[in-house]
Amino acid sequence: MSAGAFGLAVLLAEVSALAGASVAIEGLDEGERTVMRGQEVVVMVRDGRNDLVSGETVRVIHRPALAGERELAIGISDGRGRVRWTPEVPGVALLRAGDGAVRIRVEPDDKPIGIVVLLAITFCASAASLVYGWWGPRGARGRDA
Amino acid sequence: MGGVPLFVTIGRARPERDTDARMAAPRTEHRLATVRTMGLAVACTPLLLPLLRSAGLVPLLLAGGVAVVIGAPAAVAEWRTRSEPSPALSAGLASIAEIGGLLVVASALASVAHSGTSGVLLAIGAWLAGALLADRPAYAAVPALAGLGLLAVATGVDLVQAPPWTLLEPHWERTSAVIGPAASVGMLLACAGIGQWTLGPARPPGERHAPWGAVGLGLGLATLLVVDEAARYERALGVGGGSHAIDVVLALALASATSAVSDRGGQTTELRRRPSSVLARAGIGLALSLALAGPAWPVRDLLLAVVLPAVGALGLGAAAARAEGGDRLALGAGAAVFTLALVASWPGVPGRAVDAVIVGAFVVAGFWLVATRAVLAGRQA
Repeated sequence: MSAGAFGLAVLLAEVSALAGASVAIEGLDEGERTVMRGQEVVVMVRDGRNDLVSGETVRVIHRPALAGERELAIGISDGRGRVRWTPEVPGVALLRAGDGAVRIRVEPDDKPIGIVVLLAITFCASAASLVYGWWGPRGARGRDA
Repeated sequence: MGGVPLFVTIGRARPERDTDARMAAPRTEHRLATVRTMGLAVACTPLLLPLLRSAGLVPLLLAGGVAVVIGAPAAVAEWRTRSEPSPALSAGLASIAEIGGLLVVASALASVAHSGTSGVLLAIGAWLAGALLADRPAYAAVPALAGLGLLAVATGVDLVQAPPWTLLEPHWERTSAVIGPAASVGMLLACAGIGQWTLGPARPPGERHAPWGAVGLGLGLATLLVVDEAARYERALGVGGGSHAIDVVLALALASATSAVSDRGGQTTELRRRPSSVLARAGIGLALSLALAGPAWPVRDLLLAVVLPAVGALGLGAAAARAEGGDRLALGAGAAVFTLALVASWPGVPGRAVDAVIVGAFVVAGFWLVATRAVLAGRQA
């Protein structure tokens, strides 16, 4: 086999291995997907053979396909296929390395009071409007109200 | 009187008001027609859900603000201004308003039917219920209230399982992208241009607050739907489609809306003598729902973005021409909001030939309906 063909074969092998790559967070149980904002986690990158992969760039996409979507590179996997990451943006996020990806939820440390207040205002406005519309003061019959 | 510009009519004598046949309807019929109009407000709330991904809570807040500040006052003024300039014009405007109401309800049920076979069955059931309950308006409110109650419970359960912060995070920088459709929904929450204020029995003296009730009910339901959608998104981490349970709830809630559409004008005493008319209207509504859920699904957004604001602008603009004083201001503002919503959310012409054919068919059918009724009404005058 020529050097060029050998190099192509290695490249194809790497691509095919990474094609089945997976991303996971150390310490999370199967099916669990929630991490806390501000608490460091370890992201593991594995290939299709379930071996840890080093030198792979791990990216996070905050709010995927939503308004305010942001993509950041959080690091390159070390010799043990691990990247340390401290999530700062709350909400649904997508961790990606190669072809592997996993969706997680970053729990905020405090409830977003702004959203709660806005929802409360909306509810109050709807309740007040409904009460006024159904039980509001009636004009005298025959008088144009 | 039809088509006269607003600025020419300043200082015109007060238009005569309806005092004869429609005012003779029992007060309970007015109240029940109002309840069914509120069903139309319920039907427009699912229009806000696709906007969540674009700007979070912003569309709901915009729609609520428009509904309270402009929609409800315009609907009150519309219900107060009920003179008919000419039979042909009156029939034409009423037909246009009916098309708007039909499109709102059919679109809401199309979103249910689009989810699969069970959704199609739910949509059929909702239209059948509307046809059966058209002349029993008191019973039409029962499934609607049951649906709203179930939605409140489902929302509470979803909130406990997953707080809905991701989808609800407001992004005010995206306001320009959502203000058109949000403003249109805000006006529709008050049923301006499509409800009893346009088609139903004339307003009894003293009954001036009902449009606010429609706004309250619609805005409350919209808030519940938005929160529930956000909670389900959070629980599924943004993957997967909607829940069939919500489809059931929506179908129940829309039973009163289908009843309102099946009963043209809220004249229930006439319906008992014309069941074929009710069935025909419900059949057309079902066909439109299934068409919008199937081959016309790609143009559903286009129809909603163009037809609904156009219907509202025409209706409120025509009413403004007959009104005076503060009512004219409120109606003019409402027509302006609908027009701006149409311009802001203009989606462009369809890209595919089949979509263009579907839109053309809808336009032709609507024109035929309006023109036929206007001509027949003019001949009978």
